[in-house]
Amino acid sequence: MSRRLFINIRLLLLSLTMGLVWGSCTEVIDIELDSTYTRPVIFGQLTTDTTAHRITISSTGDYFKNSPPQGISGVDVEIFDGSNYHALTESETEKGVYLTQPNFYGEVGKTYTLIVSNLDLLGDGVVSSHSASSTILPLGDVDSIRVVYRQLWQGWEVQGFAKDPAETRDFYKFLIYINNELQTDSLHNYSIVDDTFFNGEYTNGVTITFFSDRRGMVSEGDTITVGFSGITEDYFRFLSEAQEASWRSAPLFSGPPANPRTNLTNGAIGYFAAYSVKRASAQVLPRPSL
Amino acid sequence: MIKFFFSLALSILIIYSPFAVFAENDAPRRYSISGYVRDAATGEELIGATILIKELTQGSTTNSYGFYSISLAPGSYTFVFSYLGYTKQEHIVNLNRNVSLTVELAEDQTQLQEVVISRERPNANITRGEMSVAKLDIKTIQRMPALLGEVDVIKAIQLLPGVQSTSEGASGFSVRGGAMDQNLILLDEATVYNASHLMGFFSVFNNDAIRDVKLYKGDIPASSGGRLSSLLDVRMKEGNSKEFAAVGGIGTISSRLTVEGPIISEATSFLISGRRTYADIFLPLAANESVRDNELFFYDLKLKVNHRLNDNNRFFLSGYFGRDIFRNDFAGFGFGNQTLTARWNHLFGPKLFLNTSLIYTSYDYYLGGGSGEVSGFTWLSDMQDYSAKFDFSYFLGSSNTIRFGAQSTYHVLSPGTAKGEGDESIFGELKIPNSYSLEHGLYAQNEQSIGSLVTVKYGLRMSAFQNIGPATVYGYNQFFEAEDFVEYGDNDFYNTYVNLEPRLGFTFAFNERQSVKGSYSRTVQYIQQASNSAAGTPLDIWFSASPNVKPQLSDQWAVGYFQNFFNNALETSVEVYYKSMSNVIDFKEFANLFLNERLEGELRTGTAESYGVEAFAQFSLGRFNGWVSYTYSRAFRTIIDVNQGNPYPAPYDKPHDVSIVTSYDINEKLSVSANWIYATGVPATFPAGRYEIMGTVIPLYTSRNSFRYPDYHRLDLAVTYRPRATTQRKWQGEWNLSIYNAYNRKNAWAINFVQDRVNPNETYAEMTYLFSILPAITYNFNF
Repeated sequence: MSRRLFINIRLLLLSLTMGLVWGSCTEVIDIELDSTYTRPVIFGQLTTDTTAHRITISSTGDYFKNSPPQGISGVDVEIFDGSNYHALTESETEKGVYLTQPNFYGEVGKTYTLIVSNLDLLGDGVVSSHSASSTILPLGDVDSIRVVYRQLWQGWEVQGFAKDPAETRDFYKFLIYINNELQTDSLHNYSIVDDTFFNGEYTNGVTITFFSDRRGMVSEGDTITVGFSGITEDYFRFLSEAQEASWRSAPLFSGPPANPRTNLTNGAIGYFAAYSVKRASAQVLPRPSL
Repeated sequence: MIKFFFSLALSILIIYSPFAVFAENDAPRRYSISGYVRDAATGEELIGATILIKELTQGSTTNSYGFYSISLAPGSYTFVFSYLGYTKQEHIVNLNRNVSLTVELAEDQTQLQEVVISRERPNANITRGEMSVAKLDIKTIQRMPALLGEVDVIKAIQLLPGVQSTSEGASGFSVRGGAMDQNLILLDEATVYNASHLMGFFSVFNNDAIRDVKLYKGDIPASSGGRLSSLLDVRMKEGNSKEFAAVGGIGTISSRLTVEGPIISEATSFLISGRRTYADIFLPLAANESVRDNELFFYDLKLKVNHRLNDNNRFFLSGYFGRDIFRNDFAGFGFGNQTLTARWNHLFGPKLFLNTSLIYTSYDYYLGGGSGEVSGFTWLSDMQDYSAKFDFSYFLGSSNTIRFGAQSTYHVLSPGTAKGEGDESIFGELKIPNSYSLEHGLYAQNEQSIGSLVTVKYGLRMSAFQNIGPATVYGYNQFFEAEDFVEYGDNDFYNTYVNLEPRLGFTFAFNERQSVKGSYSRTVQYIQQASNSAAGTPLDIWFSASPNVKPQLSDQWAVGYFQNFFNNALETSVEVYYKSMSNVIDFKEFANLFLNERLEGELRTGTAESYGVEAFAQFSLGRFNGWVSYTYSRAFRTIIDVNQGNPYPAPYDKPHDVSIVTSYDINEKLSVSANWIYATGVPATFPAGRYEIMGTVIPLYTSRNSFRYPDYHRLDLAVTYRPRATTQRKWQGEWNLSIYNAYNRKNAWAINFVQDRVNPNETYAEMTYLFSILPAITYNFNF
């Protein structure tokens, strides 16, 4: 968590600095950029949930192309669980999205390998193959969550009560649902944390997420669900790097921009991750009166 | 430690003894003239004042403590004492015995004369046996237009050839392509680890208390070491020994006051200088609600006492205490430097001068938040240096000045301790272990005049660095992953590096107005900053050389041509340099530099080189003064794992850099000044493509620093009005109106590539600029 904590502190300092310099302004400018050769982009997450898991396959494009990424059809996609191969089928509605059977689920301790072949990136008949592996790690016990109103922060804080295993370094990703609707559906709102500061401890109400009144997302009576996901360190680093790569930077606080890591072979970009999920829910109680 | 200092003292005695014997033998044949050169009004010693022997067309200068000594065959000589901006004095001395002569020079009151071109000025820049050096006059700095009216030494330095600012408004600077942490910044001999206030918009140096500023861009004297690129030597005033005086100012964002004077007699004087900003007073006016509740200020305090026991013994005590504080309801953040220097100047007779200094310096920062909450935490980081230093100057004849000495520093680095705060906090404690080390330097250098035209300088510095336990040292594999570790116990000297650093130079003066100079210097750096951002933050920690981190080395060659015109009213120079560095440190991509016990695994090392040409013309035409500088320079790094191992432009590679600094006195009451700055845009990494992960656009990069920001340029103006300049009243006030960025250039501070919120398929480039046209008014006074 040290890096994440630091990033939050940087943002705080940045806002102070920018606030100090009242005159600071932004404007859109024209810049001519280079282009580079096209690379395949593969991303997918396999969880212990029983559902149709998605693998998306698309390609890179020019930075200012300003059109949605084109999915790549007709690719052979399989997942190998150490003993069996499971073929994925392309979605009928979304181009470049490949789905497992709806009854598919991952098991703790197993290593899953994504095998992508017959990928015709440019539609010119030249095909490539790529693969990536990920192991589902065990997850500590999840007791409950609690939703409390924070007067000072003016919003609802979601607190987690869980036990972090002491003997391992653990990395978490949180799936946040309001009334069973997934809120953390995009990379920029993923919430991830490592156990640097609470290794082996009982997380006695650690802040998982926060809904400020201003955004008005949560109201009394809503059900908040948190999915605790135990992810690998490498996937944690990927998410952290990809988030950072998509954020704004400033000379004071940012290192040089760079490409996030990948676990895919043969020049593909993206990530294939497998992880376990445990859920806990709580109701939003009436706001305490002052 | 005690044992160590004992052996250090012993080694100094051994070095010193042959000279002492030599001095005795030498005595009958020659006599010496020695003493101090001081300011007549304040009693302050003048550093670098020139002493010319008319009959021999030979000369000398005062050292960092204002002391000079010249030994000559018996006879009658005319000594001319001069210092820029002061009226020169001639003394005819019959040297038939050792003579002590302390001279007090008065400030030149003829500055506003119409025809001053005929006024004689010293040509020290031609004859002085040093190059790649810039000395800034505090009065010049004071007249410059300044950001928010806060006149600043470091901002002035950034206008010199070969010096680049790291980013708009920042206090960081790069010298000849070097990194920010390669500058040794000394305040009264104490290292200042973070010279910035308020995220770098101001530096820790309050102009009112500063006497002398000298920047060595190369040709660093053998007496200093520990940084690759430069030495910025800042000396504080000693305090007026003649009368009580005060200087102060009330500015747009801060106020300052400096008080100085004698204590009881002229033998003792003091100086106290304080400054505090009140930017936080304006925060409630800010439009942004989250900014309004913040507390944000800095203060600094400088203290100095000096006492002349007699002509042979003098004591100084100086200290600096500064702190920046940010606070709001959720979090607090503070950082600061403290330095303390105790000095003893001792004369062992007229030829041998010894300065002994004991120095303490520390830098720390604090972060905290959410006290009483489960997420409450504090985070502390600090570092301390304890140094002892012995510097001898031995004035052998009129043509040799031998300097030798030793210094030793004990470094304690505490990279960080983060822990939960309050009963409710769930955070445990995370402490990155302290690192302990000793850094030593032993040096000898001679500056020798050969005839009246040639000066050569040769010196050698031997530096050593020792890591001391307790420590846990990790072993890293080829992928920079920690594989195993070794533990060392208390006071275990588990690793030592020794390096020889030759420093050579020559000056060949064709005549009074033209000279050619050359120099070579090797410098070694053992401690450095873990920072991969362009401008640096107060949170950046320092780390030392170790079994895994080799010391950084730099070799620099420079030649220069110097010529003066119009009786030295116009000084010009052209210098060419080439620098080659090895074991240079950069960081892996997405490096984790904070609270990381395995920081060394985040480092990537390689080589760097830089080269350039610096042209400089400084003019002093009576009412019209200033300089023009142009620098062409390039700087590249080649680092394993970065940019696929290919060379890439260093972060401060700005090929063209122009500064024009001018001031004009309209009359005694009114003066105007203008600065214009131009620099090629900084190198930047821009995307060559993009892709999407879970609906978020991620830029795709191909090569490091292959693009540039738009060129930077800016005009600053200032007007100074002194309503009482012609009266003899004690209280003198002046109004200073400055305008930063007068033609409102939008200089890019950051360029970001942004995904549009409304239409996520759209991406655009967005430029952030910090300062529009920015006026400020300051009232300065002295009495």
